[in-house]
Order: sequence, then structure tokens, then C-alpha cells
Amino acid sequence: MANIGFNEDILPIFEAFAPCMKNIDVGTPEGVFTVELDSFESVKRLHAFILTAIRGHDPATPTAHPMPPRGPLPSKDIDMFAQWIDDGMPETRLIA
Amino acid sequence: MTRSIWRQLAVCALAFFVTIGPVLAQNVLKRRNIDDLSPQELSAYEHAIQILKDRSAKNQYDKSGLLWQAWIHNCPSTWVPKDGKEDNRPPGCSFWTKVPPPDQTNYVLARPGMCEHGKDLFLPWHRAEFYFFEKIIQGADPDGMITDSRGQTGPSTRNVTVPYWNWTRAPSGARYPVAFENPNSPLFHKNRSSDRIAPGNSYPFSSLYLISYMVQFQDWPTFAGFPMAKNGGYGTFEAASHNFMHAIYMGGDMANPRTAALDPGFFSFHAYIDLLYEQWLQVHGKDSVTSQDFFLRGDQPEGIVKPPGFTSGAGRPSMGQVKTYFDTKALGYEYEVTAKDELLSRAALVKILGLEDQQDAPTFGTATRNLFSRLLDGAAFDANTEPAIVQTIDFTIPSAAMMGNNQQFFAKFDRNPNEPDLSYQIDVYLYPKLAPFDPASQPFRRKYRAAPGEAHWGTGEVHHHDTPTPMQVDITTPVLDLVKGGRNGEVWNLTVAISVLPSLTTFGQPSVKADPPLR
Repeated sequence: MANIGFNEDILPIFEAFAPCMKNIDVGTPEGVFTVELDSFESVKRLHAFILTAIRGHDPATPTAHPMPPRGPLPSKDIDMFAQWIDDGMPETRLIA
Repeated sequence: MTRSIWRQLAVCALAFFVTIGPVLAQNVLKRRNIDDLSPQELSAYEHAIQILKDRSAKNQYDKSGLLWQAWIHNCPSTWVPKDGKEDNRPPGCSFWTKVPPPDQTNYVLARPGMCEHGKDLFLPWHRAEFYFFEKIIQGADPDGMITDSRGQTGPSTRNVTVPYWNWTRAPSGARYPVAFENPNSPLFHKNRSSDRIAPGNSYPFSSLYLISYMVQFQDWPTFAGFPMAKNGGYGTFEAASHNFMHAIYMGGDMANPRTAALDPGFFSFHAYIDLLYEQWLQVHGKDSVTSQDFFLRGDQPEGIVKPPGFTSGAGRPSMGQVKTYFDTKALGYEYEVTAKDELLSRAALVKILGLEDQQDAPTFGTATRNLFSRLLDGAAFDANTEPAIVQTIDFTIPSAAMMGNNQQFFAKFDRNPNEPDLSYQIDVYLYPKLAPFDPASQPFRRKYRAAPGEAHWGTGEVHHHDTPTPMQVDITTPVLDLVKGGRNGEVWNLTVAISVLPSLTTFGQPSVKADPPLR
């Protein structure tokens, strides 16, 4: 476990993109949901879509619409988000 | 039998017809080639489209109007007055216009939809969109009593369907079905390409061969795209055909997803794509279709009969799930496909494309010098730097005085009609006598390729005749440029460079046709 929390570590990565992405709905096997990058529940629900999108600038993991559109996030941020998913997507750091 | 038992039976029967009745009552209507509609049928479709336009003109937020239906495809989000009434703001999707309403407290941010592209939901999403759209046009004027803004009353729209435009075949009009090109029709749209497709010409991405191959041979992700847009997302059909049809063939509003469905031709264009989806399902079955449980975004009007098995899912409004839209008859339609609209069979493709010579059928990205592979990955718009056949003739640049009104020029050549059908790309070059022919050189290609992006495939219609098969490439623009540049009287080389699949063939000597003939 890398002690990554949504509130402390993931939200700061996505916060700047949250207003724009609230214009977008995504279809899932449970229903259609708005992308709310500043919401723990939303990011947890849509984590697979988000990970595909932010990895999409990498030629090894291409996608049709890589995000952010103007260029990739720092690789350390992408790795941190992937690690957070692997760790079970905790809302806060397990160790304060 | 007692009266109470009769009463119970009556209640059961009523319950049966209330719950099952709508399904049983569902008419299965034919979606037909738009060129095959009778004048009355075309008039009913046009009347429905005009009524939808009229609704949007009255209230841009009317979900059963053409603008909102276009937004289902074009618009992720837009501000809508809380009361849903027209506010006289310029029509537009605020996500794209970036113009919020002056007082947002009286508005809600609606999400009409946005088409799914670049993933496996591409074909199912558009099918769902069309399910609702078709119900809306059928309900536009079922009794044929409404007078639209053209002053036309009726005919009934009860049984209209979205007619398809088979864009793998030569158009009945100059570039589109005749019905699209009537300026008095609601199907006409100013902001689309209108250049005439010269007889015998076609685009590689609308090739019957290419489309037939995709439908007959390609598995689901290769054909239709990948789940959640992974692996690049796009299937070959969307990337190598659909996208170019939007951007190059139709152009204008159709060239951009944010405006595409503003062109009424969008619906017939995509109805044909839905037919191809249906034909793929008939060949391959539905089991390998991915993301069948996924819900499809879209805010459709209330009150439309939902398809059997419909559930909306959690969260925001949806058009139901992918799996809801497999059985077209249950959705109320099926396709009428006459001989002229049939795809090539697997057996015919094996023979024509020489697939029997290969252990495996050509797939996306393989065989880099193979024209067929190049078409599949969209690369055939570039000149082939290693053409199989090169033929050169002298071309004397005419003077302006020799030309008539609307002068056109075509590089023309014949093909041996007794050879099997085949596919080939043609690049036409015009260059000074002193310049060596060098298609491998990018500067040469950029400067002297007179017909860039032209590729021609046999249509499957011409090879049964015993007369030579004429093919021609429009070179009007480069010739007129040379005339304007003061080159008249100079003798240049005209080279036709041909790339052929599956094997070499013989072509006649090329020539140049001036239409009208030069004076």
C-alpha cells in the first residue's frame, strides 16, 4: 500500500479539469453518469475510463480521446492514480 | 362458467393486452434505399423532417425538434431554461459556443448526449439514436393533417422510416441521392460539399470492396472498435470509411461531430451504416459484440414507446443498453435490400481480392505495400511511391481561347474488360518534360501530383461488359491552374501511376478528355 488518498493526492491532480469535465456524461454498465473529477464517488465509479483516458497519450496505451486534450499529465501523477486504484481507491490516506 | 370467472378472465385479458399489446402492435416497417422511395413516401419523409425543423424554429429546446435531435448527436451539454420555453437566444450548443445564458439561475445545464465515437459503442449508440428519431418522425403528423412551414399539409408520417443512402454506389444525383440535392427539399443543406462525382470516379473509403470486406471478414473489435476506447478505440470501419465520408465526401457541417447532424443528410448516411451493422450481425452473430450491458447516453423526449427490454439504468437519462438494440424487428424496422444494395459475398471477395493466395486474410496494419491494407488504414490518400504501372503521354496545355464554359479535363484510360475485376489506385501527375518522374520524392509528389487522394476501385458493375472499361480522373483544377499560369502551348508529361490489387493487369494508353471539346 502506497498510502495514497483521494482527498490528499488524487483530487489535486484532477481539480483543475473538474469544471470542464462536468459537461460530459459517460455510459457504464450501471447507467449514465456525469464525470465529476472533484467527487470521490464519481472518480471511484469511473476510474477505469479515467485511467484509460489519461494513459492515452502514451503510444503503448493509445485511446481515441486522450486526456487532458492538450497533453499528458506528468507520468508520476498517472502512476499515482494507477497505484491508488490498485490499493482499493481509499477516500483518504490510511496513515494521516 | 360463473360471472366472476368471466370477470377474472376479462381482467387477465385486459392485463395481457395492456402489457403485451404495444409489442404485438409494433409494426415492422421497412427502411429502404432513399432512391427507391415513391414520390409519396419521399414526400412523407420530407414532411416529417420539415415539421421537426418547424418545431425547433418555434422552440430550440423542444426535444422532438430537429435541432435537439441533432444535439443528441452533437452536443454534450447546453443551458436550457427551467421552464423549457424558447428564450430567443441564438440557437447553439453552449458547450461549443461557450456562451452561457445571462442569468444562469433560470437555467439548468442539460446534456442532450454526444455521439459515441472511437470505441465499440459507436454502432450501437447510433442505432439507439435512430430508434428514437424514427419514432419522432413517425409521430410528426400521423394523420396527415398538419401544414408545415412550406405550406404543405400531409401526407401522413405514420409509417415513415429513415431511408438509407447507399454511399458505396454511384450517387443518383451529382454527389448525393437526388432527394438531397433538391434545393426546395428539407433534406437539402447548403453547408455540405456539392462537387459532382464524375462518372466512374469514387473514393477509396466508400469502396464496396472495402466495406464488404470489413463486414464479411472482420471480427467485432477490428470492425467496430474496442471497449472503453482502449487499443486506440477505433474500429476500421469508423476510422477508414465513416470518418472520411464525414470529412471529405460530405464536408461542411458533416465534417465535424459538433455540427454533423445539423445536415439532414446525416440521417440517411448513418441509416446505411446501421444497415452495415445489421449485416455484420447477420454474418457474425451478436455474441462477440462487446459492452452489451453498457448504457447509451442521450436525453430523448418523454412519451416515446421504449424498445422491449428497455431499462434506463442509474444516473442520468439514457437510451438504454447496447443489448436492447440487437433485434431490429422488435425495434419496429427491418431493411429492404435489393440486388443493387447487396454487399459482395465472402466467396466473391476471396476471388476478387486474391485472398485465396494468402494463408490469412489481410488485416489492419499488415502488408505495408499492399493497396488493400493501405486502404484499410486510410493511407491510400497518399500517393503510392511504388506504383505497379506507369504510363506517360504528352499533354499540350491549352490556351484560354480554346476552352468553353465550365471547361473540364479528365485523364482517361481503358482497362481490358476480359480480366477479372480488381481494385486499383490511380495517381495522376502533370510535370514539365525536363523533370524526371520521381514519385518516391515527396517534393515531386507535392508539386506535380495533379489528382491527389484519388483512388479507384472497380465497382463490380463494369467488368461484365465486353467493351473496354473507361476510367477517368478529374484533372480540371490543375490544368486550369497551368492555363492561368501562362503555360499554354507548353508540352508537359501526363503520367498515370497505377497500383493494382491483387495482380498486375493491362491498361490501355491514357489520354486526356476535354469536356466540352477544345476549340
